[in-house]
Amino acid sequence: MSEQNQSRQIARRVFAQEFNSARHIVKDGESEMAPKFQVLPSGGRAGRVLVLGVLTECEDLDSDPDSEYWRARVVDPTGGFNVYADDEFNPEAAEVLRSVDSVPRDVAVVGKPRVYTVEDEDGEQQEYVKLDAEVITLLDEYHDSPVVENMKRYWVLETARQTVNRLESGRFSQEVHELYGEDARPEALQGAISAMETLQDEMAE
Amino acid sequence: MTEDQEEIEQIVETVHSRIPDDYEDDVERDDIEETVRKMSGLPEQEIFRAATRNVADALGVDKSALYSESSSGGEQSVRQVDSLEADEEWVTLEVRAFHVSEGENEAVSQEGYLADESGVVSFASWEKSDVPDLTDGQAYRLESAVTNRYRGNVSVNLNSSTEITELEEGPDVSREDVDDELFVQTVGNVVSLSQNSGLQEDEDSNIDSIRVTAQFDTGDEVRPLIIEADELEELTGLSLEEAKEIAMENLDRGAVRRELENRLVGRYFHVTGRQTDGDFVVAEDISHPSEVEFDEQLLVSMRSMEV
Repeated sequence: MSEQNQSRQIARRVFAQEFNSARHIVKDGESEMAPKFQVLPSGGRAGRVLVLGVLTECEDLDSDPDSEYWRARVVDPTGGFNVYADDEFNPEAAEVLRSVDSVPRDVAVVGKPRVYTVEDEDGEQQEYVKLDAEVITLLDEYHDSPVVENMKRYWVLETARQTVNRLESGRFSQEVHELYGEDARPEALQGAISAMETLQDEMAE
Repeated sequence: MTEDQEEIEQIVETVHSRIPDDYEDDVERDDIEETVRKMSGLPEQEIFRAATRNVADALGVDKSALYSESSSGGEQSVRQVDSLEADEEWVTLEVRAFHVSEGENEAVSQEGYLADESGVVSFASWEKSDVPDLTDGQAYRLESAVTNRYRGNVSVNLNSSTEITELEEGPDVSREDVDDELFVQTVGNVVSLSQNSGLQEDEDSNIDSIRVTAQFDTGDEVRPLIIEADELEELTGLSLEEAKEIAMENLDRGAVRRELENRLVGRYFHVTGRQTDGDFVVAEDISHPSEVEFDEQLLVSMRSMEV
């Protein structure tokens, strides 16, 4: 158990704006099974991400009636995460999304960052970042709204703090510069500041 | 080792340890054990008496010679709590008792912690041994207490041969010192539940409790957090009985784990927990974070940051 735990990756707290701009996934090792990490512009690497936010869209993309491929959008103060759940690989997350009959809902998602490619109208390959859900839970199903609001606020504060810590540590800053350009770090900071300002306004009401 | 077996071993060990050094080779440990075993089920005091008399008879000495060995405890050196390591060691301690409560297990009359300046160790008093109750915060001299292992940690057993004396002075150790050593306070998010979370079976494969091992992620580390039935019901509203019903309706015990997952994962918790070996934290007090306050200072420092 403790061994299993040593290898358990910490779930990074990242705002949607930074998450969606982080299109570089690196492998930790050569083997097929080597864990993959998303290089975050603020510094640090995310093998797993935790989000508390608002579910605003939820649809089954699979036209085959015997299988499901769910796409959901989970929104924080800076933007939205595209969250995916496949009923074959993750029946529990798919089941939760299937049970949703109206949005918005307050949710928590733990998942792995991945990049996918889509061909646009001009035939150009466009890369997008998604979050492959490991677990999705409906926070508002079991708690009163003040409890849920409190937790979502806690996530924003924690995510801002973690973003600042990553920026301050300066880890991977050279790599970030090369992969994402010189604006990437200031943009990550700006995103976190805007999230904090939104929260401040909300809490002042 | 079963409980009975453990008790037999303890009695044998005590009687054996009381044999004066000069006679030590004249009595076989196995013979004592045989005597004790024949009497198992009788009150422990009586077994002691009889076994001690048997040994005295075999040696041709008066049985007071056997008692004097242990009652000369003043000469026995007092051990520091942090020096306790081995199993089945007979020790004398001068300690203060903390967090004393009735045993969760029926065979245990009292359990809690014993502390001196060097550290903290858990203790248990056997119900059958009629050990006098310890009082929370009181200092004691404990002679002929026995060490054993409980869930991988060294623990101290008090039994009918343990002499308990209240101390006026005692070790200089406060409840705060003990709590610092035993407990951790942390805030984090339950990011998943281990596979073995949910209904738990006893040795006879009967479902007898509900418990989860959660992966508790503080943002800086992930630690296994054990949440037991009482706290679990308080947090999730799911009692053992309801959980059993869910398992039966679904013909699947995994359904209970999924239900708990739906109600726990993704939530923040403020936890006061007991630290144990293997990095585990056992939740003693767990709740959702109360009113979150805006961090003005953080925003100010973010605005002045150069990146």
